[in-house]
Amino acid sequence: MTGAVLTQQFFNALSLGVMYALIAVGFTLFFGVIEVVNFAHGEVFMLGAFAAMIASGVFVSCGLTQGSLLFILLILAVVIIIGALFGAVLEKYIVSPMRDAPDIMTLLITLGASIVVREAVMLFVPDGRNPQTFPVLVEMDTIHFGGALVKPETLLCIVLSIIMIAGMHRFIQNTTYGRYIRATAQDRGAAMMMGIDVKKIFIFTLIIGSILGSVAGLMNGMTYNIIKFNMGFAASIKGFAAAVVGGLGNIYGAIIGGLLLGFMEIFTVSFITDGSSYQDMISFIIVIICLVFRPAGLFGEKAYEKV
Amino acid sequence: MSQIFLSEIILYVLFLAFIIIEEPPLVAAYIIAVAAAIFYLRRKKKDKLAELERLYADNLPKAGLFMAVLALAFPFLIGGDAYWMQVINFAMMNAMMALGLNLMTGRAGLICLGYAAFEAIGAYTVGILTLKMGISFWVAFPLGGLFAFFVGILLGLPALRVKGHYLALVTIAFGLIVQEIALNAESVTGGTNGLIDIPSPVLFSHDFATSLDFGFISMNYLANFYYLILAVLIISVMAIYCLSNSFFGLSLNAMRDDQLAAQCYGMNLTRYKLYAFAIGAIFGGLAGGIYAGMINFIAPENFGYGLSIIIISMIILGGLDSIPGAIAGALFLTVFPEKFRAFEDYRIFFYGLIIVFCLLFMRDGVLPFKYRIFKAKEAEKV
Repeated sequence: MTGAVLTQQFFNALSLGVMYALIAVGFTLFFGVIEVVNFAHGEVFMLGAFAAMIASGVFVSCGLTQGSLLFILLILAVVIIIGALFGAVLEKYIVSPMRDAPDIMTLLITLGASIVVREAVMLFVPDGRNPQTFPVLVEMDTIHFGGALVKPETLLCIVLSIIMIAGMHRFIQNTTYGRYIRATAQDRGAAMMMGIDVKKIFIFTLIIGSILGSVAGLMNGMTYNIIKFNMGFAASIKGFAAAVVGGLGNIYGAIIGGLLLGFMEIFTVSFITDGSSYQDMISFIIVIICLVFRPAGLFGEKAYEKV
Repeated sequence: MSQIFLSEIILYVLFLAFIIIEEPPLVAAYIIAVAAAIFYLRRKKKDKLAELERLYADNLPKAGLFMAVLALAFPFLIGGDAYWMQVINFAMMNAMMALGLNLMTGRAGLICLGYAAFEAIGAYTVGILTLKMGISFWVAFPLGGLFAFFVGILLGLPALRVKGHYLALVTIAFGLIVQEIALNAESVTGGTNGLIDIPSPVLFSHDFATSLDFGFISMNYLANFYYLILAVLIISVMAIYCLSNSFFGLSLNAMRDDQLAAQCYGMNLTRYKLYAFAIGAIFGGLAGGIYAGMINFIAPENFGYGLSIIIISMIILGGLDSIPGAIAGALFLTVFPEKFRAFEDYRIFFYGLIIVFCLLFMRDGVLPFKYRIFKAKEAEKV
């Protein structure tokens, strides 16, 4: 194991980790604010990637040059809009009607919604059953990092997600709506009494989380160049696992959980012989062990019973 | 009494008709008509339905016996048609799994999104024992259930510490881990290729892979399995019914509704959670064992996450915690997609829609769970 390979794997792990972190932040936001686990969150990830693919095709045929700044920004805008729309529709028609139902019902209905979306993409996108080639959005040479080869997309993804996470952090901490969201997460009843429109905050939360998820999907497409209709399932399981490891409801825990999971996975594959066939298994076993010893996650508040 | 027989015969004929009609438009018309009838009865004839329900509750053994007799006659009525025998066999195996999952998720409120793993465990136990060790199916089959029982306890262990949403993740992970082990442990499970040529069961020198001869009618070999599965299903239903109506079942309900309160009343949550998982798992293991014996071929992809979701949608459609609901949901959701074979691709899409619409508009399912009606003399005993 040379230093160059190590550096290369480090970048791979980092880009996977930030991707998981973006998804995990969505899960943790939904749980903290709305108290639901949104199993349809993986689908926004998939939709983000598919939207980017289709949009890039449309833009190229409209005469935009691939790789220009305008092109990338437009695609990013499309991805963000799709994410926001998905989040808003999900809250309005799937999550909010189940507000007074037991937890298990909300969980199951989002699961059902995720199946519907996934299968709809498979059925209605042309040739959706097969893996799709993701278009090359940026054409740059591979960057050399002391012997290690790093794809420019990888770096771009890392930078993009750091910007997203930092932006979200500023939004949550420094803006009025961010304060509303924090207040609702802390005590819904008190927030309502203070005149916060909680329903609006719920929609808002789902939109923010879904945007993060759809951007993660775009990043996935850029890094791996192959997208498939069922990619959301694995992403949602991994993202949820990352959020759980970090402690549901804790945004910074989710980021650390995502990075942890990303590194764990990449290094299982590269350091253990035949690791790739046990990749998922090892990370899941670690997640389960982690949950057994710290049921509220690594950074979660101590779980207490609400009576 | 005659009302019970009559209603059962009507249901039976409806089910037979559902199997016999083939053209998609007819099937659609049929389903709309039945749905409208159910809607009408539930809205306008509430008293009648309640009365009928009371009758069923009072005469359960007789009603069950009559239903069993009707089920015994089923292969004769469809003339031993191989295709539909196969579908019904699958439907009954799914019903067993739905019952097991219903005990975990419906009654005890412990969500399990990896139930297919238990079927895999039963199937692989039977497959490996009969194929590689030459052990008789009749020994391996209960062992499959037993092994699923122990794995259920194993899954229950993290569930003791982990609750609600976290548990959902643990069970999904469990399902994926079992599948991945089956994929990778090639020397034992055959890996991706699975296990081929699993021997069929032989009972009193009658090979289950040969046709079933009644003298006047000779039926496809699947009829053997039909009667085997029917017998196991009837035993399962009786076992689950007794369990559900015992103190054990009541405790599981208490745990589902409020863990803290149940604990305050002195309930040993640890024990009940482990039991709920372990006992629920048995039925999956048994169904898997029969699957291995009937299909003679098992591979990891037969027991994926999709199957777990299908079983969940069955109990949601039927009504969580409802035994007749679980069976009806399994029968309907297995037979119905066969009617639309031309639209095979839409199958999973359709399952997703069922979950969403049931939860949005019919949260209690088609045959909702009824709280026990304790009769006067029972109340005195308590």
